[in-house]
Amino acid sequence: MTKTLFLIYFLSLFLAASEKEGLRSKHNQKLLAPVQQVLQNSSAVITNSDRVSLGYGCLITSEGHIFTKASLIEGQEGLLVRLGKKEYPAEFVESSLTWDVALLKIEITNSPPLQLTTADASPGAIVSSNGVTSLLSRRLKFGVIAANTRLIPMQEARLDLQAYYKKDQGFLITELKPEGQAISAGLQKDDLIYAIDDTPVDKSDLAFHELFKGRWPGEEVTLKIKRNDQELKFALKLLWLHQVTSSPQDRNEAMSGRTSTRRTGFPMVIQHDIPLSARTVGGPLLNLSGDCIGMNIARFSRSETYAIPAEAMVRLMEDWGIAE
Amino acid sequence: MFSSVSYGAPPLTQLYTIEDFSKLSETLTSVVPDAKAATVCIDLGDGSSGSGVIISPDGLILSAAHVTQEVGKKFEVIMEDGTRFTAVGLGLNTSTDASMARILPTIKEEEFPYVPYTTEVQLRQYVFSLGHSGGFDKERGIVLRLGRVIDLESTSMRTDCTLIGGDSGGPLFDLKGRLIGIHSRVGTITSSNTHVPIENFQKHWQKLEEGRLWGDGTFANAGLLFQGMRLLEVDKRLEVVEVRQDTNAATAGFLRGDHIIKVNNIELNSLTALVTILADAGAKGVALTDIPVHINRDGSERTLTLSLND
Repeated sequence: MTKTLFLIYFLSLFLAASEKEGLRSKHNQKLLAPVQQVLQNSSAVITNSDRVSLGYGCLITSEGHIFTKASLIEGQEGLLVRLGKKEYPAEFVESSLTWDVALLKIEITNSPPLQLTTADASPGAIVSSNGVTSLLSRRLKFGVIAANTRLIPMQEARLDLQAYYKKDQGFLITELKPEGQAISAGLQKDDLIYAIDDTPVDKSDLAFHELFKGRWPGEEVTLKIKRNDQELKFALKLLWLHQVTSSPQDRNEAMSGRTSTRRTGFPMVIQHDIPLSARTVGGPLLNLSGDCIGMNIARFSRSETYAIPAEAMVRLMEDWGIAE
Repeated sequence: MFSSVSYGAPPLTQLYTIEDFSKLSETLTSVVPDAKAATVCIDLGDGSSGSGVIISPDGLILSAAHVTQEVGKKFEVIMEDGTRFTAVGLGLNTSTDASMARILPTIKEEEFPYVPYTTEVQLRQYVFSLGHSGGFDKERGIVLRLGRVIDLESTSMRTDCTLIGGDSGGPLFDLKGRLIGIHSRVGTITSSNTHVPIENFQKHWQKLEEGRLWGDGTFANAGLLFQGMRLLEVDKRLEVVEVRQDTNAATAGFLRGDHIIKVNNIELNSLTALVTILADAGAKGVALTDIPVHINRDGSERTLTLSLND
């Protein structure tokens, strides 16, 4: 007991010291009070029925339509939404796999929604988001637009096997996930993959998983195999990275702590430097006027956070017939 | 009050109104493009990469020792637009992580974009960092992060500009676009990011430019590994700081603390000289098998025979 208390004390002292003089000091947060007020009114907190926070959301209409990150609420039932200081039961309406956005609906009227704007989001612009939250208040965190707004190709399609490149031959299978899709389909250790679909892979400077960059989990691929003197064909479905492994993929990921499970494959993202966690995305990205320029969609790494632009949010609202 | 655009004004350490955030934004927007033009990705060719920054029109680069790794190491630098140049590592301080490199002369004499630098830094000062986080990505561009100086010492400073792998060796700037530090390492919390201050480069400028290697080996291998012994340059003498078991050096009888005076009857006083002797022999096709090595051990000179076998 004493030990636990000591650790907490130590941690709070340390955080206090760095926050006092740092960029995200209390002083600077207070200066942004008008922006914080927008977060207070329109940045939702999504929880499960046990009130465990799953992520954040954006109130986009005065009738209680809320956008959140779809993969954060996948498989959850009895969703609750905290908005302002109140809590509401939420109903799931729609979702978009492309943008990883889910539409929720709560029973509320005349609540001020976010003002979506397609104003300039070029590097150097100051932006704010909901950092952490308590039952009653949202805590603002700010940063800058950090890079060019762009497409992020899907990089999470995997097969549940490991293979390494053998010069001028192709990819040699070294390991198959026990009871996985590849092993069930009949693939074996030491099988040589010489082509994927109709593309030969005997000349490659990529890692095996990089061969699937830009392709989506769920798509079918055909592996052409050499086994002894036989040539064989196997049709497999691409899986999600998180279905195959939970361990970090590279050094940067290992350094980042938990990143978003779905963090690639977006038609357009704004990149900023507000350090959010995997559970604090889904909320709005606001400019200094308090207008919403996007919705945080993924913690890509320790220093890179992605938001989908307001333009995409507007398009989804039109697609789903809720544009006001 | 805050006025960041006028040169000579004290650095920005405090914001007073919400409008100051807009001014901060405007300042960033105006100084970041020049800072980006001088920031390079260092492609080490083995799948790993870091960052660096050009500080002279003829292509002198400041980076981190754990990025450039070795004196004389060749690598490619990638400009913002994707143009590649070959560069060579110069000196490195393996204790503080400071290093220098130079872009090799090209047929067409290039004038490189470069940034000014300063040793003026203040605690709580607003700063920005640039770097090729996770490697070069032309679509994304060089990644910008805003922060403040949280901690300041002569060999290191800490900011809350959040860094990640690939940023190492990249530049930290004040709001006038002057280089004030080089990214080195990160702590577990996002607000802990450590940079080498320019003061630490300036103090050892000549050594860095001459291609010397020194320090305790925290950030790059200290010295040169030669036939199983590790050599370090100490006061223009080559000192044996380690002899590994079952190696040619151990067989020849080298001991820790020996000072090497001549190799193959050629006097030498630097690691670079040793590398040159070996390279010359290689170029002339001379097979070095039994090399006489003159050493000084505790004040008395003697000759050991180093047998080289593959």
